[in-house]
Amino acid sequence: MMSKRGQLVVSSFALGGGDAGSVWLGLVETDITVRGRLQATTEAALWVLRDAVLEELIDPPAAGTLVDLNGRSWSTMSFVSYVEGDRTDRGRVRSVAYTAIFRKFNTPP
Amino acid sequence: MGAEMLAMNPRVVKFGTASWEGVTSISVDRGADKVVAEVSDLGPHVVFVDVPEQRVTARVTADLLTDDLGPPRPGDSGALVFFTSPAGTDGGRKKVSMTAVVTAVRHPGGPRGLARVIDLIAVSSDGVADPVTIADAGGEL
Repeated sequence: MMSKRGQLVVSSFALGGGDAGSVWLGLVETDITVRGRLQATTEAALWVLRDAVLEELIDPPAAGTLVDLNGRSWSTMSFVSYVEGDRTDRGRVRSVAYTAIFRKFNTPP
Repeated sequence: MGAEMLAMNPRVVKFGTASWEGVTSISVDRGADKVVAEVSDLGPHVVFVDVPEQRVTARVTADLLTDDLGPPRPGDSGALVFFTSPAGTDGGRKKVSMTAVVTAVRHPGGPRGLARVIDLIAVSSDGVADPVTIADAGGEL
């Protein structure tokens, strides 16, 4: 899912202006949100998957090309956050929902 | 191992220290409290389904033979035990047991008079073990 695109617009008043107008500050950075589910047959195997994802969260963030399953790619994207669902689901398999966010910084790292 | 089941006219039904009389049927059902269903980015169909939270419920239906102002009451917990056999004989008798909590007690009218319907939820000892145990009853009463 692609985030809202367009100008970052703030009121003139917020910037010390004396009128009711607004000011554009430039195009906001693009975020790509990926929602999915890690699945494994054991608790340990699920942690292997988690750890592999977490190892990609580095400081400073590295830029790379993000490719989706339908062949679309986005260049100079940085992996910036990973958030899991409210709990690990333990049914037939172990699984956990996640949301990962990739950002195209205006000033790439 | 547990299973969905319906026991008709079980001769002995116990809940904790009480014996429940006049029981005409006990049903044990299983359902999903939480279903995880995921679709892929490629198309409309579900590609992953799991049931990480499920619930075993029991419903005991009994003929109300006399005035009865006593328990059970919602929240009561105990071991629900009953015996059943396919042919109503001692051959193949099974003992079904589960720790369960009463969630509702109702008294609907019916063609045979007033009935008592008791709903329970079975409780697992650790969340992994099946809450329903079925064993050969042998000569146990």
